[in-house]
Amino acid sequence: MKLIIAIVQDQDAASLIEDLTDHKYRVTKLTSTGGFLKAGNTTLLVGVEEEHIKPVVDLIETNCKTREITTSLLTVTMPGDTYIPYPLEVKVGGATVFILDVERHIRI
Amino acid sequence: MKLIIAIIQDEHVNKVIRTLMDNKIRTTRLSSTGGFLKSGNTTLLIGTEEKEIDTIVDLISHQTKSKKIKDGQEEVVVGGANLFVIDIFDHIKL
Repeated sequence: MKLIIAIVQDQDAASLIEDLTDHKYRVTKLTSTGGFLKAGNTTLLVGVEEEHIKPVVDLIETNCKTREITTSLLTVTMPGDTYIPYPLEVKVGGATVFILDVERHIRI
Repeated sequence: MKLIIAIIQDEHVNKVIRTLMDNKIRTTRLSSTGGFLKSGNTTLLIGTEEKEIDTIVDLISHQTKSKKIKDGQEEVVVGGANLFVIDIFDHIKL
């Protein structure tokens, strides 16, 4: 038995949990805060047997891999001036996964 | 030294914590959300010695019970409590 601890971005967490429950995996969501970016993120606990580690990690990857998105940076120059949206390439997503060995799993 | 990660449904958690406290067992409480039930539950971190694990499991099992929920067509049993026992490399109390 293994315990997968996945730390993912908030915006990816919802779709990942949906995906995991569709595949009948039990998941527990903890809200957490990143140390570096100080941004909120989500920590997921997924208890699985050894052979299910790969599929779960694949699910995490499809939902949370680091990807480039273009957002716009609204430049404010002068009051009354028009906002000029400035396209910006931003890296989002990404996940950190720890896989721990579980000695005993007890369900009551 | 072991770490017990116990995920407990919210309706049982106060009783569980009270019994743990009565038995001088320290616990750290994290609020969490279940995947299936989408309802709130609580994750407890309990550091204990190997020999105390069974007593803790008994304490918790007296306070919680599992329930069945409908998930689409088939029924899913959601445990009142879900415990993962993990080996600890080192434990330092400062």
